[in-house]
Amino acid sequence: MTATAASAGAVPRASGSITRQNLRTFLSDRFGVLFTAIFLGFIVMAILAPWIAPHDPNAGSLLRRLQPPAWLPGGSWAYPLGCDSLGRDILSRIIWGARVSIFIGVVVVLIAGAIGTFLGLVAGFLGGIADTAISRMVDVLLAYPLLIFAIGLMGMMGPGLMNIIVALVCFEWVITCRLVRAQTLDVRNKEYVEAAQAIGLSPLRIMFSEILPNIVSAVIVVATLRVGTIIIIEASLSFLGIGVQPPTPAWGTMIADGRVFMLAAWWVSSFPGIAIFLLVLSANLAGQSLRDAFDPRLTR
Amino acid sequence: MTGAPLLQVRGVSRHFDLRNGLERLYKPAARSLVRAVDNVSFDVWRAETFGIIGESGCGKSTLGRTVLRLQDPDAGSIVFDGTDITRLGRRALLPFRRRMQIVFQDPYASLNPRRTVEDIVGQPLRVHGVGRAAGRQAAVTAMLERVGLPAESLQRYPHQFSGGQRQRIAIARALVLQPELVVCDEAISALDVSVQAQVLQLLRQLQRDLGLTYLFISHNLAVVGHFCDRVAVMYLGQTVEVGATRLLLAEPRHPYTRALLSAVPQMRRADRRPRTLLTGDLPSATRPPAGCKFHTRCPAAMDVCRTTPPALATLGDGRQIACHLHPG
Amino acid sequence: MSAGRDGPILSVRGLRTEFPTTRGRVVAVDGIDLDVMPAECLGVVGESGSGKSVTFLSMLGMVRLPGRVSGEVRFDGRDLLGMGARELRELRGRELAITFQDAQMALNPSLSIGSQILETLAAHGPAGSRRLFGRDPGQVGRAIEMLTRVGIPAAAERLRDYPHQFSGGMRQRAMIAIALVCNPRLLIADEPTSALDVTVQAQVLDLIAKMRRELGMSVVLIAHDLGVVAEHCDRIAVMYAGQIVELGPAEAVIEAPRHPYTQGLIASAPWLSDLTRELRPMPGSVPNLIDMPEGCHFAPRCPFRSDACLRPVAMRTAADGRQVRCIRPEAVA
Repeated sequence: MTATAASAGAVPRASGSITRQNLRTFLSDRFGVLFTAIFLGFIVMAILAPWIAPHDPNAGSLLRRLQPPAWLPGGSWAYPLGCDSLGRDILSRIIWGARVSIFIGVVVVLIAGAIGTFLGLVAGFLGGIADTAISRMVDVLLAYPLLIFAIGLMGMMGPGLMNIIVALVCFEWVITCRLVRAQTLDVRNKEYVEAAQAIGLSPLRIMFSEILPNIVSAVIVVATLRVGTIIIIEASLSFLGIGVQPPTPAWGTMIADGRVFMLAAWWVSSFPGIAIFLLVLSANLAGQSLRDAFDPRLTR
Repeated sequence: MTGAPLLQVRGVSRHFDLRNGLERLYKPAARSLVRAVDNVSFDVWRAETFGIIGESGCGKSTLGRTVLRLQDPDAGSIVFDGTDITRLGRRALLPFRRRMQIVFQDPYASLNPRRTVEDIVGQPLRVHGVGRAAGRQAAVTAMLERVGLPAESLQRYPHQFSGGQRQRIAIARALVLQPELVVCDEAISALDVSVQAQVLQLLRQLQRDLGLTYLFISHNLAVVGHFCDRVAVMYLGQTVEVGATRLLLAEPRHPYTRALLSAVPQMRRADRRPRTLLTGDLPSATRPPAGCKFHTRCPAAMDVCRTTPPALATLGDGRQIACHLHPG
Repeated sequence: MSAGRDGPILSVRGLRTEFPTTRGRVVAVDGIDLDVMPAECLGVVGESGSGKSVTFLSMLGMVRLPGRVSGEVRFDGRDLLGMGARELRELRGRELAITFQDAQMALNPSLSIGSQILETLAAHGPAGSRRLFGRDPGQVGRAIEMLTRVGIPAAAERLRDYPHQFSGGMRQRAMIAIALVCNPRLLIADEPTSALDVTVQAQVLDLIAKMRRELGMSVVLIAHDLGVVAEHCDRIAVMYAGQIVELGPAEAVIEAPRHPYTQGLIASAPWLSDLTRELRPMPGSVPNLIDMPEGCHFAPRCPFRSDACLRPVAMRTAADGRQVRCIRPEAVA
């Protein structure tokens, strides 16, 4: 007994769990931290909208109609980014609009992520008929032009916040499902899954306690990336007039409203456009640096 | 070797269909069917080490997994300690899972990277509802000590250990339920040469202490020669020669066993013999040769070998052999 | 300047390769001195992390940044480390060839075997035969001849095949054919058979031996299996943790190892020829490159270690010419 104990060699020094190591990698990536901070800033802004927005987003006055931003002649620092065609404060509307955009982006990705993860696990782990059925459904949905699909659904259900979410979830789960299925197929053949089978774990427990923890970081990363895409789609739908309905401030609607005045008052469309750009960019880059830090294949 | 064998494998086959769901509708089965294990029979006696040797693609790993019902056999039966477990459902199989375990080749792939050592080694106990939490932790610590890992290892993650230490963790997990049969699937092949002997010694020590029976799958003839009491040589899914290790390695009769032995590099000049080099490669698994599957590479192939598959015959010295040169 | 007829074809002095990592500097190759003589087969054995592959990649300028290589490497009198990338590339295909363990990775999956041989010929072959378009029939003939020589049946037809249509053994043969098509003077075979089955391993090793005789080239055979090296090499270098610990004639090193690591390696390996021989495992495991023991790298696992082993140990040459990196007097007696 002592002989074998001696021959096993020294115990390794503790170097923290995988997650803590990943976190350290993540923090050493300055760019990633910067854009994650911007993304978190948007979220904080959305949550605190009622307190930080300088004006009521829906209070308009024809006196301030198309008032330019503060630094242009005719502008005032009371309305730093100017006003729209109804004289409403653009900054306040952007701040409130962040609520809608981020809410939709996050909720859709959460719901679709849960559905997609479950179906992807089932398809990848069980295979056979379940896999064929789910995979074919995924193929069919992926073959549809995404925006047309959403327009069609919205046309059937009518506009409204809940309906947008339902319509977006209807195709968004496909993305997660495909990813989870591929990852599950990869992990399923790992020997530790076979070892769990040899112990006698039920398929459901193998799926959720052996496979899921090993693919969840990939899912989180892709989900972060998808938030940006969903925000753009929601903006597109709002722009087309079948998304969030006025007077609720939404970035897409704001851009649509301003396009008539593009030459005379560029700020009406441009500032919400910049907001979308910044939010999506920061969401994407935050997602990417999360992936770099958490992808086990990239950890040394 | 008294009483009934612990494990009886009778005519077990395991096929893989390479077609996907859609292809099954129009492609003929014959050309896409891999007979990974093809009508294999053997007995393993209590407390012995039974080796299965063969090159990659011979079906030895599939056979090991089929014996444990990690894969379901397409034909034949597996009898464990007198009970036919071939068709048992998951729940009915659970009590048998406790009694037979497996150690895999790659200690980097066989341990879930997200779990601590305590979690990994304790999991079999939790799944089978053995003892209470405190008792389970004591059992895990005791088992870790038995395989030569100090108790400080409990809260560590697999990636913090060397390959040899990881394999010790995998062995601890396999043994914590006190199984009777342990399948070692290339259990030391991925380890450094200087560590292989350590793990081999540990496995032997554990066998003595716990009365284990090993099904030892390996491609390394020297390791099998040292470690196993009896050995089965596999080629393209079939056993071609089965017998006592000393006998088989000292006087191989099957042309494939002979070729395998002569191909092993020898360290000392005095041990080197003229090679009987096999020509060519392993035939395609989807279209194995007719007759004896080895005839395409066999230096002694006769006409009958090309048409008639040889049956497994028992020779006077107790070995079984499937070769027309040795009709028994 | 050119080395004399009897001088070594490859001469290495003080070769050192370092990699900066986030957790400190890693010395993968730690002062290698080595000569390869013309027409000699030198075996290099070591476990994972011994630096046996990196040593030779370093010599050939194949270590990627931020890896840093220093020391002196002379091939036929020419300084390899000071050579420009282009010059080195020319030399690498023509006079100095290398094959890798994983032929699947080393062969381009989307080019046919034939075109990969022709590519090598076009880059390094005789200047007059270079053509921009089409195939030089002479070169196609040479490619077929080469594939036939490495034992690929129906070579003319298989020229158009892609790597995935070859079996593992055939891929290793094809890679050897590509390496040898320009008649190199030195072949570095990095674990040529570790991924192969034992019957195919024997074929490939015999092939390398046959080609060495036919082409009169030198071969460096890198392997982790002592048996492989013992059977095929004239001399053996045993590597441990980035250093050569023992160097000498193959038979002498195997029959009477002098370094405790070599002794341990041989004592712990099972022999097919003597099944009753008891295995004596070496304790511990290969040290991590990040925290390498001070002094003798093998000291923590060594049964003979003393306080003197805590200081760096130099290679010592015995009266019979064998070299051992050990301070014990009996090692060089």
